[in-house]
Amino acid sequence: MSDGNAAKTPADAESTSDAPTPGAGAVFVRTLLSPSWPGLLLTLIVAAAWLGGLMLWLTPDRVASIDEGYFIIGERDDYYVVTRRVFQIQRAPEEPNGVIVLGSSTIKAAVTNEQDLTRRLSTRLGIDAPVHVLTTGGQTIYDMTAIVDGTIDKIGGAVLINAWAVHIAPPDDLAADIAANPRLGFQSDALDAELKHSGIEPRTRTDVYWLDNQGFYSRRMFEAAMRTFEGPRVRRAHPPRPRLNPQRLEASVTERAGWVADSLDRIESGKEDFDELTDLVDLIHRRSKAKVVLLDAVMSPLLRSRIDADRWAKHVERMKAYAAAHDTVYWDVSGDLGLTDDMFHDDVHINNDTAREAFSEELMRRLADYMQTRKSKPAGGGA
Amino acid sequence: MIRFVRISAYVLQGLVLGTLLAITIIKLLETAGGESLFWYQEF
Repeated sequence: MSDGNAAKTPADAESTSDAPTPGAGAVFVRTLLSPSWPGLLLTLIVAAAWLGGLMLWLTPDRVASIDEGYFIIGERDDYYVVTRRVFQIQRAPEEPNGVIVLGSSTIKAAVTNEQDLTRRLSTRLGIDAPVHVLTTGGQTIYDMTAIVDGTIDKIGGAVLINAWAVHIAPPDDLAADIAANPRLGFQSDALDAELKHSGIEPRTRTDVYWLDNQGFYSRRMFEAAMRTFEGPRVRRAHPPRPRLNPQRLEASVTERAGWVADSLDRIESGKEDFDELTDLVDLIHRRSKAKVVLLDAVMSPLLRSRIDADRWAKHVERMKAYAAAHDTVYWDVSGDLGLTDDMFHDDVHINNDTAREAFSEELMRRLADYMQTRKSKPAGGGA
Repeated sequence: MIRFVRISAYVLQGLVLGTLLAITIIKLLETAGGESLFWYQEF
């Protein structure tokens, strides 16, 4: 490399008079640290290139095809997993006997896994009947609506809706919360209609996938950047969950018994007419031949003992009547299984493989019977 | 030579600041877009 003095021209000599000419390193550092129009222009170009590149790169097709372990932030990042599964179902052939299981973490903790459920159901039916477990922690009736809207055109077997009183009689402010804090990485016309029905204006869409879901992907994009070097995260179906100590268990069961009581209050007072649930059931019946099952939450004997027995018995009868009137069935599988408290992490989450297998076997037995019974009816035969 | 050095500095400046600007915009969009990451409520 030649030095600055050797390259100095007569013009340079005139302009710098007797001052020593800085070396190339000094010029580089000084230019790098000084604000400049070329630097600003390049900064804007690079930022625009990153953002534009992300917009072009991040599409539902790409999300469906990339290993989920690159984007999930932890083992309980169910919302990314379900978003990806919805995209995969949309891109797969129609499944005439396909089943989707919706619900919150109580259902997720109670079933074995998709492969096991598929095997149990397919064996009983004698046909291929894939089961998709699309549960997410804290899944609401609004989330269920969006997931059904995104998948139901490909699912013809059955839809299991987690119809716990807490889910189907949501607090008044839940719709606004869902609109402000979307949890799934896709848009849903049915969800938007449900929000409007609740007096909430849904978000404006740009139809640019990344822009419409930037809140969902922001932190996950950084996670994906790190995972590119570290490799995809491995997600277990059932991370270990030891039983809570007595103090935390008491707090948990007291809180959930309160949720149930509040929900029953809303139902019994007439404030709740199951309109969200009815819209969801109608959506399924309108777009698919899939059967609909209203599946109550998994509750431990301890939690059941804290719920007023008469009120709950009336609620069960109410749910059975609702199911009959809407061409569905209502099941309280865990209530009929004889589960014991020591099979639970707390008061709603099973942490025992034996209990999971018992729940899964009973659920698939009932579902196979229901699907076979309904299939034997002539088309258009009604409920 | 000096021109090449200066252009290199501009490019590096643009890459670093542009990347930082893009990250900042993404984080701001995350805030504006609502916290959608984890609802760890267990029910």
